[in-house]
Amino acid sequence: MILGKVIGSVVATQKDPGLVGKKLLVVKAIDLEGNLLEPFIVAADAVGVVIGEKVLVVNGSSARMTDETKERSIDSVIVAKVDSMQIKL
Amino acid sequence: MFYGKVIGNIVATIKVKGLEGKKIQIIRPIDMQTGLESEKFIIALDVTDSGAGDYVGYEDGKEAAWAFEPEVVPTDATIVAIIDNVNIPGE
Repeated sequence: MILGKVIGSVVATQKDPGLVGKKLLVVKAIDLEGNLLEPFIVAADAVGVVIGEKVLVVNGSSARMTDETKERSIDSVIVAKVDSMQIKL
Repeated sequence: MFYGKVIGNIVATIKVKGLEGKKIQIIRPIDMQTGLESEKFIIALDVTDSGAGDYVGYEDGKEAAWAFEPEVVPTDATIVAIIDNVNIPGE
């Protein structure tokens, strides 16, 4: 899973029927201190988050294992909104 | 399976149904040959009782979800073992 921050959204009117009704968000990976890292991904939203929130993103075929993304052409999905992190080491 | 060290955990209350009740850990991957910790980190679910400081084995990709079978859990990384020892005899 990737720790990321939602930085924007994508609007697409012509798309695969499987993507209809899915919110597409632009997520940038962050480090444990919250600094933005280089890669960004476009992920479908399965929990309902807004811009600026820290999230967990699942990639690959596992992304299709939520009820919201089952059997749809989606390879990245936001599965959780991060409340807090405890770094002990 | 890959080798790493648990360095912390994440709390998330708003999450998809499949992740409810699952522990979310932060792991630093370790090179098994050299024992050096990576600069990167990954976020993984946990089927063991690991805690911060434990050395663990984790799966990535689709196999990570199979650790929870028959439950359908959206995860691409899962801790599947706590590693006690790594023995690599010299050549």
